[in-house]
Order: sequence, then structure tokens, then C-alpha cells
Amino acid sequence: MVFLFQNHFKTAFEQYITPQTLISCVVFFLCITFSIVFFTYLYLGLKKRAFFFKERIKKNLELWISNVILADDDEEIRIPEKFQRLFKTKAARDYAIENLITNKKTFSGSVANNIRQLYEELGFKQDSLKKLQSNFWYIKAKGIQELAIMDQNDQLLRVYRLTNSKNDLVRNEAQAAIIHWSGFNGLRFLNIASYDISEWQQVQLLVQLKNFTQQDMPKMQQWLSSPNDTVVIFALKLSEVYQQFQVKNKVEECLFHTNEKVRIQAVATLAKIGDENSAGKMIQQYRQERFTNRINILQQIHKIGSEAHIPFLQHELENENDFLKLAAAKAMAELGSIKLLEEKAAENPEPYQQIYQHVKAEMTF
Amino acid sequence: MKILIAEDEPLILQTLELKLKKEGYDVIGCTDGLDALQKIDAEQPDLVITDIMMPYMSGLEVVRKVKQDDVQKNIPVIVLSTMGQENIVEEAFELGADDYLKKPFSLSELSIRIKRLAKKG
Repeated sequence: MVFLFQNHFKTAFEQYITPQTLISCVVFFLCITFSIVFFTYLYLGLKKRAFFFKERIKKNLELWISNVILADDDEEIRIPEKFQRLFKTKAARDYAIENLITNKKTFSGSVANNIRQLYEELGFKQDSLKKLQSNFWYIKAKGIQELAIMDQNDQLLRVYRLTNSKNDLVRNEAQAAIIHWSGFNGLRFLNIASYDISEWQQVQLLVQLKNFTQQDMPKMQQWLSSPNDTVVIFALKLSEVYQQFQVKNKVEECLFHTNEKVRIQAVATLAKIGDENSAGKMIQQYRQERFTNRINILQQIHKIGSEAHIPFLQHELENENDFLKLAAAKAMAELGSIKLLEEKAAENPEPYQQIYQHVKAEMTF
Repeated sequence: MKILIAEDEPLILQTLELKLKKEGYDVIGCTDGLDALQKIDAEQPDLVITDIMMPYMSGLEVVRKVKQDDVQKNIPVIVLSTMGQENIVEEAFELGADDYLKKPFSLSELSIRIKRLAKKG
């Protein structure tokens, strides 16, 4: 039986595959296998070489750079010949730039000056400028970051043009660079910003601005009227943080903006720079708002409101929504009308007694 | 005077080490919080400089452990923070940190603070 099967198999095998074909196949697959092994070794070899090369650069450069940046101010920077040769390779230059950037982010004073001087003397600025001209957004962004960290203010105009780049990362880096170099004056990029400024970027810029002494923002009115809603929101945040009372009327106009996010931020800003009149305008807009901004208004109104706004709050105590009821009650208490709340609780214990107790406890706390 | 520096960025650590060695201090460097704690136990430094964000154990945890230890609690600790870490610095002070420096900082300022703390000690 086995013999018959083998015989049948052999005949079929020989019918389809001749010995020549078989040998060709074996040779072909052997070639493939050897090629794979060869290229794997070649790849690993090259990686290993690159690793050791980098290690060598590290070993040589790190100590030298640290010594140079710690040198006294009047000491001249001398670049040893072996480093001049080394810096002809891209890997060494990239490594050195990275090294200088890390140090520059950490140190200020004379060390920072030495780092900048070394960066310029080694011609690394040209590398950063080349990166700036790259077509790849991530290289461009890196170039901007390097120039900013190394205080290359003379590139302000070139970088300024990128503050409205269509790529968000390039744009963010350019905006951060302009603020880094010019502080509050750098906010002029808002004049031309047509793309969105993300919430994260807004926070980053506000944090950056904390490092500068506050300056006038004469274009604030213009930013608050920008067709770009994110510019309006950012301008509102700036008005809130830096108490821009002169734009109060413009901020009040933002209460009626078509974008809900703008309206929400306008309420928060007016809570800082507004007055009784602003509270009245908030109430005027209140009915047009959805729940989010209604509760926002109720939570903020006590900061600028007065007794004149109590009737509105009393009316809101009747609102069907319990959250709005509670927020109105808190606002009344903050405006000094807890007595009215107490009376309401006495008239209608359910649910006002509970609300009254809650607000009273919160006020005591 | 023996100073321990805990900083996870080797380049920064090296620059700090070089600077403080130039000023005549004995310097012990380490690149993570856990290593720092072990070296504090072994070497008993006179002052500790620690970064906040470090692998394995944060600078805050280092401050906590040092200040909770009866033997080590008198070792002055300087915390190195970065922009936006104000809350963490407050926490570090609550844990007993003696001083802090916000990056970027000048090395001469660091020297002054070390000297001030050394005088106190």
C-alpha cells in the first residue's frame, strides 16, 4: 500500500517538477535565505557602528562642551582641531546642538551666554536656519525651537511669518518663539492669526507671558473683534489675566457672540473686569443661553452684581432645573440676600429648605 | 563639603558636577531618585540638590524620605524645578525642602544658595 502511494506520488512529482526545476528552486531559496542573513548582519553592523560613533562623539564632546560653557566670560573659545574635523559630520553636529540646547534650557547667566556664543561660533546657527527652510514640518519646527532657545532674535521676522503657518506644530513653535523673544510685543502675531489657536497652545502662551513684565496691549480691541474665534477667546483670557479694563465694553459685546465658547469666556472675563452694567448684560443674554452658559452666568454674576440683580435670581429660584436653582440661591447668598432665601424656604420647605441649608453650610465653611 | 546631585539629564549633571568640583566641593552624582536615596544612605552628604522629575523615584519622594529620616533630616535639600511646577515646589517646601531654583538658573546663584545653606548648617 505504502509502496503504491510512493510510486504514485513519485510519478506525479516527476510529471510536474523536473530535476532542473527543483535544483533552480533550491538555489533560489538558498539565495533568498543568504541574502536575508547578509542584509540583517549588514544592518546590525551599521547600527552598531553608528552607536559606537555616537558614543565616541559623546565621550569626546560632552566634557569639552561642559568645560567651555563653564569658562570665564573673558576666556576665548578655542575649538580643538579634532573637533573641527568631527563637526564636519552631521551626527556630531546634531549631537552637539542637542547638547547645547539641553544646557541652555537649564542654565541662565554667564553659562547661557557661553552656550549661545559656542552655538554661533561652531556655525550651528546655519544648521538651524537650514532646518527652517526644510519642507518637512517637523524639521522646520525643530529649527524654530533651536533659534528661539539660542536667543537668535535677528531671525524674528522670518519666524514671525511662520506664526500663521498652515501646519499647527510649526505655527505653535513660531508663536512660542516670538513670545520668547519679544514678550507682550510678540502678541502681534494675533493680528494675522487666521488658523485656530488650540486651548493647549493658549495655556502655553499664557505661562510663557508670566516671565515678562506686563506691557500695554493696544491691539486688544482689534483681537476681540477678530474673525478668528480662537483669537477672540485668547484675547478674552488675556483681558481677564491682565485686567484690561479699557476693553470692558468690547468684552460685553462678546456676550452676544455667535460662538458659545466665546460667550462662556466673556462671562469669565467680565467677572474680573466687569461692573454692574456687565451683570445686567449677562442677564439680558441669559435666556438665549443653553444650560452650560446659564450656570456659568449664575456662578459668576455675584462677583460683579448687586442688589439690583436679586429679582432675576429670585426668578431663577423657580427654574425647573435643580442645578440652576441651587446656583441662583448661592449667588443670592453671595450678594447678601440669604435672608430672602430663608423666607423662601419657610414658605416652600420643599425643596428650598434643603437648598437653604446647603447654601448656609457652604457660606459658613 | 560633600554635595549629592540627583539629576536625570546626564549633560546637566556633568555641568553641575564640573562647576561644583571647580569650587572645591566633593560631588556625588546620580541620575535617578532611587540611586540618590541609596547614595545618601551610604555617603551621608552635607547637602542634596535634586531635580523634581526623575525616573524610579521623584525628587519630591527623595525630599520626603530624607526629611522623615531621623539621621538625615538635617541635611539641607535644594530642589530644582521647571516652569509650571509652582505647586510641586510648594509641596516640596511642605515636605521640608530648604530652598529651590527654577530652571533656567544661573550657576552663581546656585553657589550662593549652597554657601548660605552651608552656613546655616
